[in-house]
Amino acid sequence: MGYVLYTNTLGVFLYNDKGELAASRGFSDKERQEYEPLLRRGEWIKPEEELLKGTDGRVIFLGFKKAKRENIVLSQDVDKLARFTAVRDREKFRAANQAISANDVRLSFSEDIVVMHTIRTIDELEHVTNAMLMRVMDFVKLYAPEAVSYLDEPSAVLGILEKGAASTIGYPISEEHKRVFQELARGLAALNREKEKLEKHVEATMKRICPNLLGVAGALLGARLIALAGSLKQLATMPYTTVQLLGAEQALFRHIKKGSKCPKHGIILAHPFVQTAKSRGKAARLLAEKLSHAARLDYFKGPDMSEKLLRDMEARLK
Amino acid sequence: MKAGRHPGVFEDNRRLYTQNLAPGIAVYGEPLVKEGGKEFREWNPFRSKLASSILKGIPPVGINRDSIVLYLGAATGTTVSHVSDICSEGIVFAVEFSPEVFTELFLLAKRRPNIVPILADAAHPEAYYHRVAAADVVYQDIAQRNQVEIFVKNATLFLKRRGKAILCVKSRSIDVAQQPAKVFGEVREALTSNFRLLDYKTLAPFQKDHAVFLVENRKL
Ligand SMILES: C[S@@+](CC[C@H](N)C(=O)[O-])C[C@H]1O[C@@H](n2cnc3c(N)ncnc32)[C@H](O)[C@@H]1O
Repeated sequence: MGYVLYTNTLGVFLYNDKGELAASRGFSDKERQEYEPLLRRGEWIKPEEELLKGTDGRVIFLGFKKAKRENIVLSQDVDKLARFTAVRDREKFRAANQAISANDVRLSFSEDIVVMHTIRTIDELEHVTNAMLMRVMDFVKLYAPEAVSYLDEPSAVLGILEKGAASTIGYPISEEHKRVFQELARGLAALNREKEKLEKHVEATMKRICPNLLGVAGALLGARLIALAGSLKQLATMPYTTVQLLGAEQALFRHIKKGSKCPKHGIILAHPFVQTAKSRGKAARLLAEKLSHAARLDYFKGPDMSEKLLRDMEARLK
Repeated sequence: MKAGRHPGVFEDNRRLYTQNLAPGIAVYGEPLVKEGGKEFREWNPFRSKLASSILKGIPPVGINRDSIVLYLGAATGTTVSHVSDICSEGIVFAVEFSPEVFTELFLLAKRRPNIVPILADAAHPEAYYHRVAAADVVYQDIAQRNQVEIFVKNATLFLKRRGKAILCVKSRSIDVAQQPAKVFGEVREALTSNFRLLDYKTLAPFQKDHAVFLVENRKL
């Protein structure tokens, strides 16, 4: 059957027609990392070339290669793999594989992960602070009911609680009761400041890694789209019709299963362009197209063209 | 607790256990039980489709003490950890493509010398061909539309003669609108043209609208 050339994480191995090891070239740790991307892409590597020089006639290469070569036949025969496979050197094979994975882990970090964590935290804070504000308001209703109508933020509530000494309605509410809720309102105001800081942080990060998406969607909506898609890469590679419906999965599922109305938009409904449009369906489609385009520009590190994207979008609605 | 019909899997009162390869450490919050000087981890059928398949009566799937297993869709390693308990002297090549969950799998493999974690897309086995060995068992649990195609591709490349392969299917991931029974029927059809079907089980009440297929390599 002639020679068989087989490459794995440990090195390159050449077997003769009796299946005996005729020559081999082990990888150093550095070479292993260097050759790994080439092997993944199916390119020939130097040690393979070297071992091939010592052969004549037909050689079977066990595995995949993109470029064909004279006298070399590609095979993925599982019997041969079972025979030549590296389990004999199990511990070394595992350690080598582990080293490649460690490098993959390191390379798989990208800042969009931080963006996703930050937006989830912001949304969580929003949720919590709203609920807490309601509780503080319940107290304010006892203490100064006339103020409730114009209170919609913690700082105003705090103002009321810090002002007068006694309940305006004449309830005998002690200073101690009041103090407890003052503290709560202060904590709430602090959380709100925290949330604003996170919003600035998301925006600054996006300015760096996805300026187009930031420009077209705005920071919060853009970050939520990344989080729903799973990553900037996934957002960039999904069809724009999917972007249009991100966040409307439940409604879409009901539509397919039960035949209810097909949703026209997911969270992009929150965008002013869709909000103010006469035909929201059409606006949502146009916006989704531009968002998709923006994400792709960002993922492939293109220039910031967000202003042009927005102008095109406005023009097409008319 | 006593040995059942699956090598390395112990049973006690309809509960499954595997002997802990990394004693003292639970992987996903499962209870650890000591008996006869050994430590066992309870195997939760609601968290693992292999455990529920066993409880539903699937015949031995071919994972023995020294087996080489190719596991596609490893996620954080819930099931992989039990497979690693069973093939304590073998290897589990655990392929997962989501970087977010891969980190956890990678850390699990640091504590368990028989797991080889691989960050890769199972749809492109050519990218990891040089990193895995020929396998006695191929196990796949990825919720993807073209999962049958991916399964056939990997089994053809890596499954040894007489090797067995297991495919977990969530009917929704193939077709949301279709009746699960119909989806499973189609999967079965596709599988029998490539393999010998040994068994087929639906996983209710542990997993809704899921089924597993156990096949054997046809090549003899
Ligand atoms: C249902 S979970 C698997 C749970 C796991 N088998 C267990 O029981 O512990 C499916 C996993 O497959 C992964 N996955 C999906 N498609 C994949 C592909 N093409 N290649 C590799 N992994 C994939 C997903 O990221 C996810 O973590």
